[in-house]
This record gives sequence, C-alpha cells and structure tokens, in this order.
Amino acid sequence: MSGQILFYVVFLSQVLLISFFLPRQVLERVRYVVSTYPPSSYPRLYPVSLERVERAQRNYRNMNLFMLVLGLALVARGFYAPSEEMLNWDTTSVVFFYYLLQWSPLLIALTAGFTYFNLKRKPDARTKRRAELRPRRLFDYVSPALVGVAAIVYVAFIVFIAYVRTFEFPWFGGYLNVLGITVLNLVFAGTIAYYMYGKRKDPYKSYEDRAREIELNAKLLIFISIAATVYVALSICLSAFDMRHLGPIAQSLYFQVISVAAFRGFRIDKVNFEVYREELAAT
Amino acid sequence: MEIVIDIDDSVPAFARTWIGNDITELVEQIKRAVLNGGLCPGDALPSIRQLANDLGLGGEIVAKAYRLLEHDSVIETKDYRGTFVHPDAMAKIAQG
Repeated sequence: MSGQILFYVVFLSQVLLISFFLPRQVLERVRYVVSTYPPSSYPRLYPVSLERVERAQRNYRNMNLFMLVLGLALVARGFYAPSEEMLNWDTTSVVFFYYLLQWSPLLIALTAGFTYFNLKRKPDARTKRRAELRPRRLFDYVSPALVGVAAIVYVAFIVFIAYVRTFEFPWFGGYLNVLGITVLNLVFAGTIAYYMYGKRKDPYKSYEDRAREIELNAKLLIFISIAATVYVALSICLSAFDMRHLGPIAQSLYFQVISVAAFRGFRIDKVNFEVYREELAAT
Repeated sequence: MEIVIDIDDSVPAFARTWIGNDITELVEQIKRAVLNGGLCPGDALPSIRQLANDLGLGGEIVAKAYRLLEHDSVIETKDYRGTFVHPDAMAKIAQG
C-alpha cells in the first residue's frame, strides 16, 4: 500500500510538472517575445498574424489544461478506488500512454512551428546568401567527455544484457533491448546530423543562434540516450530482483527527468531578435 | 570566414546553374578568401552538403566548384577527413 501511495505521489508530480509548470513556462516565453518584440518592429518574426499566434497559445493552454484534469482524475481514482494496477490495466502502460498524451500539445505546437518556418522562407526577398567557410563538427558543440560517457554507457549496457542473459529469465527480451537502444541512438545521431548539416529552418537566424540551437539539441539528445539506457537497465534490475512494483515509479521519474532536460537550457534572453527587424531583413 | 553569394541576377536560376554563374562566383569567393588571408593553407572547408544547404544552392553546384578548385590545386580532398586548403594554394592562385 505504501508503495502505491509513493507511486501516486510521484505520478502527481509528473502530472503537475509536464501539464502545468512546463507549459506555463512555454506560454510565459511566448508572451515575453510578443510583448518585447512586437510585429510592428519585428515583422520577420511573425509569418502569421498575431491573432493566429494568440489562437495557437489558447489551444496549447486548453490542451494542457485537459491533460492536467485527466491526470488529476487518474490520481484521484487511484486514491479513492485503489486497485493493484492503474485503471485495472497495466500501470506502466497507463503511465506511458499518459506521458505521450502530455507531450501531444507541444508536438502539435512544434508541427505548427515548422509551418511557420516555411512561411518565413517564402517572403524572404534577400538576394545575398551567406555561409561560413568552416566545417561544423560535433565536438564544436558537445564535449568529448559527454560523448565518451554515452559510448561507455552503451557498451556497459551490452555487457549487462549479455550477463543477464545467462540467468535465462523467461520474461527477458535479451538482445532485443540492445536493438531498441541502438535504433534510438541511430535516430538521435541522424537528428543531430540534420541539425548540423541540414537546411536552415529559419532563414533569418544568426550563426550564433544556430550554433546555440545545435549545441542545445545535441547535448539534450545525448543526455536522453544516456538516461534511456540507464532506465532500461534499471527496469531489468527491478524485474530481476522481483521489485516490479517499483517499475512505474522509476518510469514516471525517468519521464520527468527527460522532460525537465528538454525544457532546461534554452535561454530566450540570448536569442538575437535584431535579425527579425524589417530594415535588417531587407538587406 | 564568411562567404556571400549574390543571386540577384536577371538570369533565371536554372540557367545560372547551366551557364555556371553560381559555380564561378563560389570559386572566385574561395580564391579571394585564400588571397586575403581569410583561409590559410591547411584550413578545413565545410562539406559539400553543409555549404550547399547553408547557401541554399544545389549540392552539384558546390561539388563542381570544389572539383574546379581541386583541379587548380587551391584545395585538396583527403579521404574521409574532408576538404582542406592546399599548402600551395596562394602560389597557384597568383600564377593563375
């Protein structure tokens, strides 16, 4: 019973963190940008009307509010009608699917962001194209130590899986775990390469801002790679030591850690908004 | 070191590529960067994909420009390590 209370306390913190505190930060950033860099002075920043931006903000806030209410309802049901598994299903699956739902408002907002970038490109009448005659390399953005830690964690994970295989647990997926982490790492590597060498999403963004964007995303993806590998190893340990009931707690904590990491690090005050001024954009 | 390509031209984009305006401009800009010291012998150059995406040009244009520069010994490609300014680049441009 105390384990269940602990789970619901941790789950409640997931609900509040991802559907209340982090969205509030996002909305505060958008409000700061709109009030400090208005469309009248920074027209290149707004490929769509301010009304559309405000409507998107309202939708984002309402979707998060819905997720918040849904999460609180799950917690309330857990306290008032306790059952062995959440919703009489599988607690780990419920936490996972709820986490995906919690991220859906931001994913919708990011998709809209890509549309905005495409709209930004269209009216770009500048005839001069600029590029730096310097190759971008991974270690310009991420320390070799962090990449080294990720590599060590990955190799240690393979050794760990090989070791656990010797016990022949019936539930154990064996090298499928390695395959899953390898695919995840390959997707992350491809995403980092896209940020480094792909087409500019925002035609007006300065070199410095682009470098900061690459650095932030590369560090985040490497951190998530390490966290995911450690989390999978931890889940296997909990199952091996017959402590599966702690699995949903570890899962919820893992989701919270990577969510905070995803939001942390972005500094709006360091962005160079001057490139979005009309007179500069016209040159 | 920054490179600037001016696409303000009355010739349409497809014809510019065919005539070679963009290629010539890119070659000249890199040679100029070597002459004015913006690029030194041994300095690494961006990959074809990076430069093409940054300038919004086709990869074949940058590849052709790099081939011409390599032919003139202004740059050299070292297998898998990338493209670098040739040690004799300055002399070759002065000759040329």
